[in-house]
Amino acid sequence: MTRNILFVEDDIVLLGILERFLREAGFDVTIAKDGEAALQLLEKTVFDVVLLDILLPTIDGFEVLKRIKADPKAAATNVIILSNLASPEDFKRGKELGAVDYLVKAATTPEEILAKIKQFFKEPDIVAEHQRR
Amino acid sequence: MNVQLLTISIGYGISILITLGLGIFVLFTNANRTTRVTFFLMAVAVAVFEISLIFGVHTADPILARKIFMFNLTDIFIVIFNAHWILSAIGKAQERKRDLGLIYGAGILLFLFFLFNPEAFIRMPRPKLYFKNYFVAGDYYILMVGFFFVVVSYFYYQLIRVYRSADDAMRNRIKYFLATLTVGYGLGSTAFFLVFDIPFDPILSMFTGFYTIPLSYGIVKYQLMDIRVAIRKAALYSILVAMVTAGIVGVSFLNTFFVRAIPGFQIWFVPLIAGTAAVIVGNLFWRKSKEADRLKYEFITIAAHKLRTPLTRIKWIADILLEKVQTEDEKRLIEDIHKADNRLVELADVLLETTKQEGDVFPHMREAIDFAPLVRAVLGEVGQEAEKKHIRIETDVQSGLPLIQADVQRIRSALRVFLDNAILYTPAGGTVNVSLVRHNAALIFSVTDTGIGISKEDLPYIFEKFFRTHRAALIDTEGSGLGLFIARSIVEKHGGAVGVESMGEGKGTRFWFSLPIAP
Repeated sequence: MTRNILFVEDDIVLLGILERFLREAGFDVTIAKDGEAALQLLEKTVFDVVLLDILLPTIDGFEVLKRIKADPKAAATNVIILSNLASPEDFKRGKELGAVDYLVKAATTPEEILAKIKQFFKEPDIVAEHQRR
Repeated sequence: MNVQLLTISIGYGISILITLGLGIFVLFTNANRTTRVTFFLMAVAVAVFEISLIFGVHTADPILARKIFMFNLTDIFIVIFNAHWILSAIGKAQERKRDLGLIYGAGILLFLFFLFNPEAFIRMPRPKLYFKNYFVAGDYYILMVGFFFVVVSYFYYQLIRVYRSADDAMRNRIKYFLATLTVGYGLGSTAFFLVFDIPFDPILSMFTGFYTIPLSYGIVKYQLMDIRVAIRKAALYSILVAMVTAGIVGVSFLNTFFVRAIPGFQIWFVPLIAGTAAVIVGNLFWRKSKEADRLKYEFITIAAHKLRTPLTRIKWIADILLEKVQTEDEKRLIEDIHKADNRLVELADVLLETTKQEGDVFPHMREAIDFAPLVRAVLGEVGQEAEKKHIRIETDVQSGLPLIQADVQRIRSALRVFLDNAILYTPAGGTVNVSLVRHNAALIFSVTDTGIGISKEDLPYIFEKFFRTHRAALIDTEGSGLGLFIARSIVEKHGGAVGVESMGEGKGTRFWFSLPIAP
């Protein structure tokens, strides 16, 4: 089973940190720095999990989410919103548009994000776990 | 009845109600016991003064009036109780026990002297100004006034003394007291001129009772609004009320004028116009303030984002480094970065939360969870720290407990606060006992330690924003005083309650909170 993740984030520092971290945890990580790029990538590949920031250049995360859910091919993708926007309206909107979770970056660590992602992979991949250590 | 007499009577009536109301209210708050009780007694004494004055001035019969005016003797107790609660509120009651004793003694002697020599206190009253009867000073009445001066000067002096060496919060509080007492006594004293036949209208004294409002505020709340902000707000509200009152009176006059001047003029016309205008103006102001709210919200959102971006970077990098560093020293340094960053995030949240009018900065996401494993997980997190201090952790977590509806991240952070505190404030070799039981329709989590304990005076304030006990501050100089405040707000948002018990300093503490069981 492929374990591929699309990570959409405009802050290159955070992009670099989490991408490397997830790679070392045994995942295939593709990155996108804005909404346009993300959508283009989503057209070509089906991802298991999408980590989606909201404040992005070109098209914002909510719009991207909307389009993912509107595309029959990609609609089943698990989208976790990873943003520092955290008002009740944002949370509500995220849930309504179909995100499976909404994590606030400043309140979460890469470890916790990894734990959340792992929920969506049913079989434990011992090889990848071993690689991480 | 004379307009001035009517005005002053209504004013006194309201004043009496406010004074008594607030006196009773403060009695039921969780301020310091001595402060509460003596403030209440002062309020009662003020009310008696006001009642005796207002009934006396309406009494035509001088003999009866005089009997009523004798109640003015309670004035002596106003200043005595005032001195007592002031000293208690600034924490000097014990220290100044001797001075208080002298004040009580002198006051009681004076009271008894006047009681048995009523002629020395007040003579037969007679009509003065627009009053049917008013006080006429006896030969020694001036003694009572002198007593006031001495006692009031005394506690003013004490207030100023403490101000010099006080922290900001206490200073702000003292400012409230000084300002309010000055206004209160200033206004109240206007009733005394006429006693000595000085023709000064005592009508202003009807505002005396209102000074209990800022005083009770100063007693009940720990963290007071800055006094300048409070004064500005009070001034704004007063102007608003005055404008609305003037508007209503103006419309009424206008209407009467038109109805009289123009035959056939409909009596409902002017009120209708005025009402419509009021609704339109009100609507405009409402929209304006909503607009201001919206701009503030946008600003907060942008500010929040800007603050959190660098904080996120620090947090994530620290988290990754923690896994990569080899030596214990390096690990500790990284953990310190982590802690500092967490504190910044915490402070940023509180900052943003207080600027927002409603709603959370980070709203809650609830799910049905099993509390016991969460408690055990958090215990696991703090286990290392406890071991370092050789603190034994006993757990009494029942199994098979029903689920609760909670935001995992939030409840976890609340648990962390209580456990971190227990370990931090318990000296090495101590014990921390954690229990989770069911009680009716809730789960009660409690953590008991053998640590530094909390004094009786500090207990009511433990959960207040920025509050730290002296001992706690000695142990952890960096503490923000926000942990318990945030924990309480989290628990209360879940529909639960928090509580604390302690037998006193050095005798350990028990913190508990309850969470309702998921329906």
